[in-house]
Amino acid sequence: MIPTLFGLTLLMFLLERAIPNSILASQYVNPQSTVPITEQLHNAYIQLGLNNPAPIQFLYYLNDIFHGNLGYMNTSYYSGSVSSAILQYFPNTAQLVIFSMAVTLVIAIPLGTYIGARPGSVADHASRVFSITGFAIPTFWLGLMLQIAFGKGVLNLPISVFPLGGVVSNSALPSPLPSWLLNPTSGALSSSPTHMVFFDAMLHGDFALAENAFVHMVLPIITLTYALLAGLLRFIRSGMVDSASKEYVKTARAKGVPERMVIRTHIRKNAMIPAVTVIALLIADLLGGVVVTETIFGYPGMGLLSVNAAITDEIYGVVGTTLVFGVIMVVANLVVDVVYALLDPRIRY
Amino acid sequence: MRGTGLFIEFLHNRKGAAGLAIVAAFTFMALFAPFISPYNPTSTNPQAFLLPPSPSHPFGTDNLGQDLLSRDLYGAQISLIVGLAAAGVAVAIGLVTGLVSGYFGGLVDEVIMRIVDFFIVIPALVIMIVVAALLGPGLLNVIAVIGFLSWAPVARIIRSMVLSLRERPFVESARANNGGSLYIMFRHIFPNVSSVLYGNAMLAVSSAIFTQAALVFLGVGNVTSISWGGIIREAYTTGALTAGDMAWVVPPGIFIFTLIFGFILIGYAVEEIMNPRLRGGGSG
Repeated sequence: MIPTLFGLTLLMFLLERAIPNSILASQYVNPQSTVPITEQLHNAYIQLGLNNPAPIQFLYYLNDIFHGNLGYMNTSYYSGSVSSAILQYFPNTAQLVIFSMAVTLVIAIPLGTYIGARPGSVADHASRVFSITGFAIPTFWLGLMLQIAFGKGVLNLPISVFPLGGVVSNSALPSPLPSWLLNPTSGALSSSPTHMVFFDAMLHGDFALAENAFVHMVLPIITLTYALLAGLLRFIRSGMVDSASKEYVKTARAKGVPERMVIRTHIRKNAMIPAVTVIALLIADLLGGVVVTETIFGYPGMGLLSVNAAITDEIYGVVGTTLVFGVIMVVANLVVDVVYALLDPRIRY
Repeated sequence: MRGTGLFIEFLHNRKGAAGLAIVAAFTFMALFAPFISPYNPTSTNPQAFLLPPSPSHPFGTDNLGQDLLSRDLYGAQISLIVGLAAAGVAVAIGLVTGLVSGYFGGLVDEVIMRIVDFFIVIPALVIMIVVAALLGPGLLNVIAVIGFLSWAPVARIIRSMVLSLRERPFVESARANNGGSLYIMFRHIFPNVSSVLYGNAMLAVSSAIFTQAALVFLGVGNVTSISWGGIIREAYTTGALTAGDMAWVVPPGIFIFTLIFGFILIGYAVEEIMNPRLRGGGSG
């Protein structure tokens, strides 16, 4: 875990320092600060350690990361420090990822069990076709197709009931805005305590707003879930088929354990162990999918922030978001390793 | 002639034949785009912008009056070039590191596997966006970015196979006959991992095609050349999508889907033929 994080910061550092010092310093200027630009530029050289040799610069860089100094961005969509941009955009991504993972697991585990217990059936073949489409359909195109078919104001079919983008509709916000929807210091729109609009609205009993936030997430969640589901379903299915041929399953059947119990406790439990490792890899896919999906649906999360920063050449925005994505991946892998050890007592680290 | 026999068997495999037909059709499309496309894909026509599909413009025209059918036909070129070249880079690096890591073992293996872990854990698409944005547009840059960031899974699979192969008697006898490491790796071990390698290579091609399209759609990579991802991006950024201009958005997506599907089918067929245990469609 530590080597991976170290490698990631080193990679980001090398990418960042491939850019001329003058540009690095000029982009390290806080657009909201009242300090004169020349003085800020001078400070940036000192703070980034740009006058030192590269290995020393890297130490400065690590120090900055540990203190949350990820630089500044100054663009039409965000102006201020990168860490505050991440704090603002991250909860929206978290909201999408939580729902997508939940939907994937809730569908894939029972369905995978069902199909895995009946290899060669019609359901099995149908799931194979679904899985291949899941691998082959480009995520971004799927999102656009969903927008065309189900988005309000494109074709306006009877099924076109979902908004095309955004987190909530302005019309759904209560008026006047209650204090939990306002940032106490800046007065900007920002919900508390979780910063995730859906969960905050639920907590404060504003179910109309929660419903509105949910409706905004439906198409992005389908886009994110489709490929994920295809992969996990096939994996659980083949795990089921594998463990169904094991000796302990024959023993269970021979001693007269009811078939439902055999499937549930003997086959499925063992099939789930390898599936847990795949979930860590699926999170990597999910984060990649988030980048694409948020761009299509204009959903202001980390993915949109990182793409916008990349195409407007905001180096600190790009590096900061990538570091956060990397940390999420590393933590997810750690969690999966722990769950894996819990599920399978034979595994010890 | 073992190779010819395998190829005939490949053609008799339904998945293989279908996949090959799809890929051949797109290869034809890419090679002969200048001859079969009705218009020059980059010639603009101010009198004919945003035309709906018609006999003279089967897929209509875009906001600059460029014929969309011609652009879609030319788009096959970039997808195939990037898909094959990037997968080639990824498979070559993955093969060599996997062979070296598995064959030598010990410290070499430990170091290489930590690097592989790193490349598997990092969110590839995000890093690709960063690197592609920093490198700037250009076909070679895109190929390099995709290739150098997607070799790790191949290396891991090859290494795990080599670990068991190097203990087999034929490797031992080759070593006893004073065979060098390189000779043993490429003459004795490589043929035994090749079936898995070819199958994975096809999957690498399909994921490279997808990644290239996604990068271009997001606005990084070779945005200036005609590609399917680029056509969808143009439709998206000019608002053709919200206007419901299906002929602009749907065909390039279907082309990407079909081409990826073709490579996946070939990959499945290769694994089925080279690995007799998979025959009969029991698993997968």
